Amino acid sequence: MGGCIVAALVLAGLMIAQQFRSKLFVPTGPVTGVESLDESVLALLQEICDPKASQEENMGTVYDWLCAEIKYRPGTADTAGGFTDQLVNELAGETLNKRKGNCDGEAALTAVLLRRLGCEAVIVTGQFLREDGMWVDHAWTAGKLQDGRVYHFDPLYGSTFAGNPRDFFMRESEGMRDTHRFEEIRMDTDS
Amino acid sequence: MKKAIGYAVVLALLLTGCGGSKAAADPALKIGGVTIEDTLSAASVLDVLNGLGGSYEYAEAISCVYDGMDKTYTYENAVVYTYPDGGVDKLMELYCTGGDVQTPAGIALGDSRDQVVETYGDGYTEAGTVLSYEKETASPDNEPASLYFEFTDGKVSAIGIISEHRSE
Repeated sequence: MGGCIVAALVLAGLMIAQQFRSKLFVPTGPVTGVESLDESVLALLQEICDPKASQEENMGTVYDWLCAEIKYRPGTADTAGGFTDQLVNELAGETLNKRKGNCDGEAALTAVLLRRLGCEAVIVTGQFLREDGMWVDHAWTAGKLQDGRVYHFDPLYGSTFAGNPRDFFMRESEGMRDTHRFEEIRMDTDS
Repeated sequence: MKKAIGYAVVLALLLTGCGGSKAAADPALKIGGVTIEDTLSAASVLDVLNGLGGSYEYAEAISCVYDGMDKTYTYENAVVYTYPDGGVDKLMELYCTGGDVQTPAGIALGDSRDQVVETYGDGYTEAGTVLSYEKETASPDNEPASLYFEFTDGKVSAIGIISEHRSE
């Protein structure tokens, strides 16, 4: 009798574990190699992403999360030497852990998250048009999707200035020109 | 039966009262014995800088969000963040990672998460490594004032206060 109860409990536990595993989101993109950052990124993606959703849908979920959760904080990072891998990982980790950052931090975190979702992503440096008519130095993220096209992602601008934050989710370059200035986007895989 | 129910009600009331009163999580810090509180007035930035004393590294950049310059004052154990509002610099955040800093209720660097919650109660929001106690805002367009704690290995590694400020 006791053995039957134990067996039933074990079987129930295995079934629950299997249910849990089948619902766990498994990102397919590369890790950064920074253990603490990779752990935090994985935990976040498994919390908010849906294993049954498409890559684009999960990118939308990540974008919405960035818009809602990351608060603006003036930044002091020295980006004069460009966004090296080390700087991107540092900025992404700080922004993710503290839920605060400026455009550099948010662009870095967006890039890390998109890459982990399997999208080739780069940080774009340029300018955006502020409401007072001034062009202001800015950074955001561009990603190359499976259709081979490059799209822009600017959650900071979307959540702060756009009527609909999603206006700056997966936006093509031509659609950005009214509000953003930037050089031609080049990806590592471009020939 | 009625007596038993009555005793149960009294016991329940007593038990709910046994948690003790919690400290108000007002955004204020004591640094070297000087109390620094968030305010929306322009003078508060100077108050903070004078209260901190010592030398700092200054940096400014055109704000991504506000009309004007974001400024940071980086001390050995603290960073002051300001933002422009109507041509005036206002305190956005005071972030402390070392030195003689504690909250008016006595929470200091190195204290545990349990001590923080025991002191201020469970009216917090938690995200990442940060536990925040937020105040109600005067306007729905504002980010709330807050007192927050960062944790490393379960211990308070930074304490900060954020002033209520415009979202954009």
